Amino acid sequence: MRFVVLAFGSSARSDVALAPAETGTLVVDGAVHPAGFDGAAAALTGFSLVEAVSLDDVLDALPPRGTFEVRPADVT
Amino acid sequence: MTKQSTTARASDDESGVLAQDSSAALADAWQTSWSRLIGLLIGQYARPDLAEDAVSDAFEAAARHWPVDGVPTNTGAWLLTAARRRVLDRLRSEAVHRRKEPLMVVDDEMRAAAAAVVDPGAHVADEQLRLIFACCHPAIAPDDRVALTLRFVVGLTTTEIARLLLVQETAMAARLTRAKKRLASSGIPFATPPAAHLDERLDVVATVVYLAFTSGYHPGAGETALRVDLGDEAIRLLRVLDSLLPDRPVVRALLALLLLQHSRRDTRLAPDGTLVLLPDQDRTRWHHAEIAEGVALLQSLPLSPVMTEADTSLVTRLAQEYRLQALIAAEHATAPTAEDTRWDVIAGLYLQLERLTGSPVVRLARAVAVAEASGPDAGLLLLEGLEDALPRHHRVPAVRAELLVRSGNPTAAATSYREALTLVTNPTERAHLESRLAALAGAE
Repeated sequence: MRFVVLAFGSSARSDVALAPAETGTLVVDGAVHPAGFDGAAAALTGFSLVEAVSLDDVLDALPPRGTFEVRPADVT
Repeated sequence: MTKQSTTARASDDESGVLAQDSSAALADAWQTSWSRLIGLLIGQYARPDLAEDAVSDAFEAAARHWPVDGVPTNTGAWLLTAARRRVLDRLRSEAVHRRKEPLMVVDDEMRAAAAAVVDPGAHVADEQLRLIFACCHPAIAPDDRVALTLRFVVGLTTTEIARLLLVQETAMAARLTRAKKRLASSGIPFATPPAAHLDERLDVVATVVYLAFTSGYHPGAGETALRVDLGDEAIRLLRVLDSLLPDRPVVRALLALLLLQHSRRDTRLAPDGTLVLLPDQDRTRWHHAEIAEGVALLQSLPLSPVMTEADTSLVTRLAQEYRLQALIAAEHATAPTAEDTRWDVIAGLYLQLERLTGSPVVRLARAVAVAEASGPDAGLLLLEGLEDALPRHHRVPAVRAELLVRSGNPTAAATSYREALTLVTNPTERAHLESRLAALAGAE
């Protein structure tokens, strides 16, 4: 079994540190919005770590339907 | 006079000339190089947060060195070298602060990165246009895109942008800070989008180019009454855009509008710097080739100024807006004399424009046209309540004052002129309002 630890303002001893919430870009059914997801954290259903040159490359690779937040991350 | 004192005076004269030359060269470089330097630095180092400070530092260094050492042959190259040095200093100190890499490795990495810069926007030859498109990224809030572009591309100050967008200076400063931070930290590429995505950002680009043009004619505070260079630059950018994305109505309509408005640039100010209103301008000195080009562009656009329900996209709405404005400008530009102006046609076009935009600024212009076509009282009716929509706009009381004079009410007119004088920031417009108020002195 695999587990994911999601940290909310705390350190999770993770290898992945998310950039601040203000850097988030929300995509809803392909439409890009200049802010992060502002709904409840309980709505989270998954995550993926994407290696890309820029935000545009990530946006282009997203599925056409669904709600996603893209945020830079520091991976060590 | 001794030889020593002659030499000293010659040296003083020389340094005076140097100071004058460098001051003029600095002003020229600020206008011609600022946004190009920003664009080059961002393209090379992908750090928009550092670029602006580095360019400002480079100009500061130029202000210290040029009066002493003389103006360099290539001022742009000098400034770019100085600004690059600043960026590299900051990158080095950041690297040292992080203590991740030895200095030499960081230097090598930066050299390699600079050499390997791939220009994904090679299809856009013009740096400034590439910079505009980058500032107009959809992950930046629409209002922030405009503010950011006016700062980075046009080089306006926070005060000038705030005045242009009719917001408080503190709010604009906060907006710019937020936008720059987001641009630097959200992974937004500072590059031209691929050709397939260019159209998506055309609406914001058109808006920004128009605002840049407008800012040249309403510079606000300061001694400069007109910035003709900003008008030239906006038209040049549109021509590049038209060659890249041919037959886009929004680009063509805006180009027509700017050509028609810019054609009157040489007659807007008297030799003493005072404002010359449109009816008093010498029409023989208008640039008639530009008027002809603007009218021809208008004729090449789709005929109907009314949008169909299907055409509600912002780009289509903007195209219609610019077309209506260009038609109004064409009415003025092609009237043989001020008396021959077809004010009824212009008032009708403003009505369409107001319905399309709901803008109080359009209502203000419509009031003037209606007053010309149907008398001052009809115009005054349209001004009612406009102060609420445009509370810091000196032109509302200024227009009201003018119409009150015409309707034979000099006392109320004087009150409105005084109100306008408390709001106006541009010295040229202030002088005009003061002269109008002074002319009323005997009639009150």
